[in-house]
Amino acid sequence: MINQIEWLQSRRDFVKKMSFLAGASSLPWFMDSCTSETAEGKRTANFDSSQFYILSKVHNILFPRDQFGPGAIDFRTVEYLDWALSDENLDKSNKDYLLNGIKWIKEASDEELSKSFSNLSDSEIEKLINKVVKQNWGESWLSKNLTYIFEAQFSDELYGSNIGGKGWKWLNHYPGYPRPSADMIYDEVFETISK
Amino acid sequence: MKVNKNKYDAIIIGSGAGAGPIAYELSKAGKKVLVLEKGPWFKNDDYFKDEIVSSRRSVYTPNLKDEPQVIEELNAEGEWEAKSNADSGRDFWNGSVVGGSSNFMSGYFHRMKPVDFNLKTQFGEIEGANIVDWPIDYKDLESYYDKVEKVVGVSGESRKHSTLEPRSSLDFPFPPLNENIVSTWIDKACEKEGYSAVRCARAIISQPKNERSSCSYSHYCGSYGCSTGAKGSSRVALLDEALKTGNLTISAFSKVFYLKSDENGKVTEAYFYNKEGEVKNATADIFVVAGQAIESSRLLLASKSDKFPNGLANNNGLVGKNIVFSGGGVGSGDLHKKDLEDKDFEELLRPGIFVNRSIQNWYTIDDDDLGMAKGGTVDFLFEHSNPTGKAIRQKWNNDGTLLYGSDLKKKMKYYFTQMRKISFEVFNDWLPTDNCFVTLDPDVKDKWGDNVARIRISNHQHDIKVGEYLAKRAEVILENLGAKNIKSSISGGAPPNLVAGGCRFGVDPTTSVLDKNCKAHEVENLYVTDASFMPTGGSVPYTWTIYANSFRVADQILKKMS
Repeated sequence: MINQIEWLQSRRDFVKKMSFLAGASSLPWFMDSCTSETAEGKRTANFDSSQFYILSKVHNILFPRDQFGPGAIDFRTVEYLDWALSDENLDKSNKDYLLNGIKWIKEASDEELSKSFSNLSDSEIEKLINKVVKQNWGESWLSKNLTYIFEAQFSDELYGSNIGGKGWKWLNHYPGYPRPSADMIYDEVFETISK
Repeated sequence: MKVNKNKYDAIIIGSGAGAGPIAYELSKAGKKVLVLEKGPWFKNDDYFKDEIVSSRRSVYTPNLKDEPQVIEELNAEGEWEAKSNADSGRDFWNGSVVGGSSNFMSGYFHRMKPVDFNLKTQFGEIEGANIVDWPIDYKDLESYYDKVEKVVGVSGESRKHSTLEPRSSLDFPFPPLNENIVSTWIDKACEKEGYSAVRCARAIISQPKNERSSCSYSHYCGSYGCSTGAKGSSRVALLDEALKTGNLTISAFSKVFYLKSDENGKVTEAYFYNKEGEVKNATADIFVVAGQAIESSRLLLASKSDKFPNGLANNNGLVGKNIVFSGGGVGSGDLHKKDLEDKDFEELLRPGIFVNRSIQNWYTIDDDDLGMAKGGTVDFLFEHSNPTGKAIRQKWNNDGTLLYGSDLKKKMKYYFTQMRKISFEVFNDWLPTDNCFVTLDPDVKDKWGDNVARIRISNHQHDIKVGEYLAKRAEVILENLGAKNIKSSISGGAPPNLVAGGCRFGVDPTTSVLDKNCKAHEVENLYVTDASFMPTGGSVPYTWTIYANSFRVADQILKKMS
């Protein structure tokens, strides 16, 4: 069973596992394990449990599971963001910006609502986001998060987020073919080029 | 592949559309050819429809931290300001892989028209623009356009229309690709205005050719490498064929940084870095530079010697000058399910098949404001299918504020399932000026320690007027289609994938870098065969012309060799 420890391993190990589990994404247990893993407070390569919690909550407001379709939690968007930030091609300033935003929204919670972010209810988090989006930093940081949410929901399932193509299905989107093979997704192509 | 220490008959720097025809023709003629390509060598089986790899990250182009370029533009104060794109992210690289950017083109293929070869004679000078006639005519290139249709593989249908260029073959060797229902609607919309809708040719084969499969309509095309080999990239259409002769060696990960010349000004060796960063060299009788316009100029400027203190073939100071891009812009309109019959909307949403319609009625224009002027081409197409790109464009409200939550999802659901965006692209001449050129940046260096290209970018205001003229008329076609939310944007922004010039060809060695056969005036064994040779760019995408001209130059090189 794919568990949290495996998520902490390198992306390549995970992809290799996916290739062994050909068709695993269609298995109910696999789907369940994926969604249950988006529990609060997980530690990943780039986020401590507090950062993971904050991002999960923010992503849930930005892209909720609702009557229109699946939400950020269904696409494991924070795990996807963790992978994206592990990209050695990513400029350090971009990574710092994403991480700094977590600090800023924590500070905004203290200032705007006089409450620690970890003590906010979901409706209070929504209220906070509605406030910070009116500030330049807030709009920009939230917008960046939305871009990663979109990438998570539309990328191939080999990236671990759009499992079963659910991000395409809710919008009746047909992906291009052929779909990537496990040995030629981003990390592997990049390795071919750089090594 | 190991580079042979023996001398080659010809060394080609680059492997894209300017390089492929030379490699193809020389190899087939029994000449030993070495292609030095700075990027990796991916084959058909290595290309997938992976949005992350092909569109969301820079995988097929260099990391800008390793290989930046410097962009110089006028700032708000009207002063020239140069910035490394390692900071700005404005990327002017296009496909650093074997086959170059031809792997990733959409393959909208138009020939240039006879009028494009003598703009100065036809329309006169325009103040502030360095317009010159080409040293060759359309008829000099026609047989090579025809050759590209057959060898590279071009699909289409030759419909008679007012600006159809002369053709030696009655029709295309490959029938048109399958089309979306919207294509017939565009035909009718044009008919209503008295325009001819041109069935746009594509460098995508609709029937198998040699080892290449026909198009599989697999969705996602432009920006993606083709896994079937249907797209006529230099790699699959020419280099793969040339390899069969046993005369071609392709060396990937071979970044040429210096062309050494002797006291007579003849090029003797190409120096390059291999994958490990070691300096290697190779020698040949003939050297052909085809690394795309910006980098080709950079290589010549960097190849200084006693005879060429300002760079190879640059004693007249013209290398890097008169860079042109494609003028024009884009427009779009939305076709909604609620305005259409259900069956028509279902057809409209069919993925994979093409629009393939263009209008060239305004290739030359006679207008109260512009007078008699060169116009251009309008290509119609669907918005790119990349879902992430489409979603990103939905995250803003009309007032520019960020949209999120259920309102965003509702908007996305409608956008993806209840409508389809039809777009158009306007192509018109980017007039050459004194303020659009490439030099070596004195300070910024790449990962190997070599000075990078500095690109000064400026457009002529005339380009905007022509672009707006064309866009206004294209909008009428979208209105006739019943599209809503019609808009267009014409700007002086430089499209990085449509760049030419820098080593313009001509008869006079004092006003041009290359002679009419694309040999450097000053260097007896140096040719430049990418889009660098073009003194003006025409009002169409360049690739077909680059291919055709490269086939023409290959004949000249073979003549010289014999």
